[in-house]
Amino acid sequence: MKPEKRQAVLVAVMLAMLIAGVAWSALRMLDHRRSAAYAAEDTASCAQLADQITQLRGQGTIAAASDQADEQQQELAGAVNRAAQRSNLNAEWQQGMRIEHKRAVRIDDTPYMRKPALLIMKGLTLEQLTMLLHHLTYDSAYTAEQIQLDAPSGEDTGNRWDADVTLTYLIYSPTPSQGQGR
Amino acid sequence: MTARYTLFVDDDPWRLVRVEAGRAQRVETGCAENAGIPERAGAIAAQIHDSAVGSRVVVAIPSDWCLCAVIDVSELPRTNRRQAMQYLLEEHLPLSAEDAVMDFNQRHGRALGVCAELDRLRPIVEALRGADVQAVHLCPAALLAGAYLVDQHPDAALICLSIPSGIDLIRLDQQSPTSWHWFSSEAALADGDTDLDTDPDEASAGTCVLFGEAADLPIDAWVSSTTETGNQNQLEDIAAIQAARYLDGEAPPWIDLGQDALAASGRFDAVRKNMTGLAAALALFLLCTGVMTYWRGERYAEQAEQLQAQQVSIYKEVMPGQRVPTSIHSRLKSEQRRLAGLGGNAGTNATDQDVLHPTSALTHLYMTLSVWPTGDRCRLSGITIEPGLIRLNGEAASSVIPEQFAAKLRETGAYEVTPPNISALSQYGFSFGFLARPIKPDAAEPLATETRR
Repeated sequence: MKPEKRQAVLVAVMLAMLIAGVAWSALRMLDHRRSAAYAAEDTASCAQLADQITQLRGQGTIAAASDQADEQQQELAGAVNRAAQRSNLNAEWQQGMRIEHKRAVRIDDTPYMRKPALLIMKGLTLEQLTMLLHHLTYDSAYTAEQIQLDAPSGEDTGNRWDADVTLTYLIYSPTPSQGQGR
Repeated sequence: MTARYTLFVDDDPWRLVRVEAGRAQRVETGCAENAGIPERAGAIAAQIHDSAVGSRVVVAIPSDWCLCAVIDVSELPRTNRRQAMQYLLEEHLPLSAEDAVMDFNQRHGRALGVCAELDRLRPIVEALRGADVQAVHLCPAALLAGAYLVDQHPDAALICLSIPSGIDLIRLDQQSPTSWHWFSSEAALADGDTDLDTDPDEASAGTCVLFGEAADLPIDAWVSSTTETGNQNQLEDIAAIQAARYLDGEAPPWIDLGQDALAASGRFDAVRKNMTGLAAALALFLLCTGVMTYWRGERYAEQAEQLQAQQVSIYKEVMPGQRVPTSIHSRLKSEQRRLAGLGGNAGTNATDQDVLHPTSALTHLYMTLSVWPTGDRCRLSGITIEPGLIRLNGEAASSVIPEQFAAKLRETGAYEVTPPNISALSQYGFSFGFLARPIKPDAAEPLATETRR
């Protein structure tokens, strides 16, 4: 190969290598620029989410998380006892009291399920019952959904009632499609 | 039409001939007779550059600068053949191969070798190159003219160029030169040794093309017929026309001494400097672009890293004590959705809110009992409060009492109350029962707000 031709080939190879280098560098730059843009977008979104999380934590909850449902179930008996104490109910009434837990049911197409528990009590006055239910449902996740009062049959029971109260609480349990984010 | 230039060099002032549209024209260079080679080259370059048609020329050299011989190359190997031919030719020359520039025209196992002194041609070629003029071919002027004449007379077996400076005899075989002799005068020809009359049969087979004055040349002894053409003043013109054909690439020269050290660098040499500059500028531009884009990419990468560190900081602040996940944004989004769900705001609308937070049965109980008539003239035997329905049963001393009770409950505006179903008891009083439906789920003021914490 003539020196001139060799020189031309070398120049061409050098230019080709430079072009390849520039192409690689440009592609790398574009890749990093895209990453930086995504990162900026994510950071702004993260800051916004952090504010929302802080705010939501301050607002409290109306529902239990699905992984806390069992805990909530066990908590009900304790909550009833505490409400009973605050309502000045003596220990006798507990002898006729029983709690029956029911299966949770999804509420329409919302991400929530309603978990009912039937509270069966005997021989309570209306005042005792309303006080008990007030303390039980006030400032708590429980709602008195149904109340059935029956006067005991037979002798005069002196304004005492047998009560079946259905208490419910919400469980936040989104379906996979409802839980999809972003 | 592009003009082509042929430069005739010898010990006299150089002549430049321009060929355009097949016509040759002498160009005055305006160079002094005693000017040196660089000045002559400069003057030539000025003429060529002024014409703005490029700077490629054919250098035509005089016959008396050339030496030639015919060598047998039939036994030479294919590899390094040219080098071998140079050594064979060297045996016939008073020069060493290193001091000469050579070229060969091969035919039927024999080659016509022509050479010239390197030291005589090199200064010319380098001076021209220094003046940005590329000597593309270096050809003997006689062979240029001979090639032109062969093109005009294809059956020629001998070409005789007879001009005052000498006589050239070019023997041909099928339009290709097989030998070349130059004599300074007719006397020298008479005394000289040629191969023209060594083969009488061959000599008589062709036609001699005589260019110039025939004088007393023994042409009849060499060939059977003679064609006279042109005159001595036109020799350089036809040589220039043939050179122009070579420049146009129509055919390769018979002999081109622009070999080895004198080889033309290429057809782009005229713009070599420009191309070199362009290549250098392009390389610099690419280098700068590459460095700039690399640097910019690094800045973007740094920026992305800083932003990711910021995300980690945000995450640690809002989720203390937890392992930082790969996708912080997704994790925060999930946590936000979970908390919104626990707070009752997970993608629910107003209707959903009514379903999620129905009015407490305790509120309905309170509303119902608040309008219950006092006294012992009536008693309730059963109350059932379900979502959207209240059922009341009892006994009263008078049938008016249940009516009054239902009316008062209706007056609250929160319920739609059916007329009481009253029936007399067998012993004393009346039994009654009626239904009440909340007009709206939230019609009744809540007794106690169930919340939400």
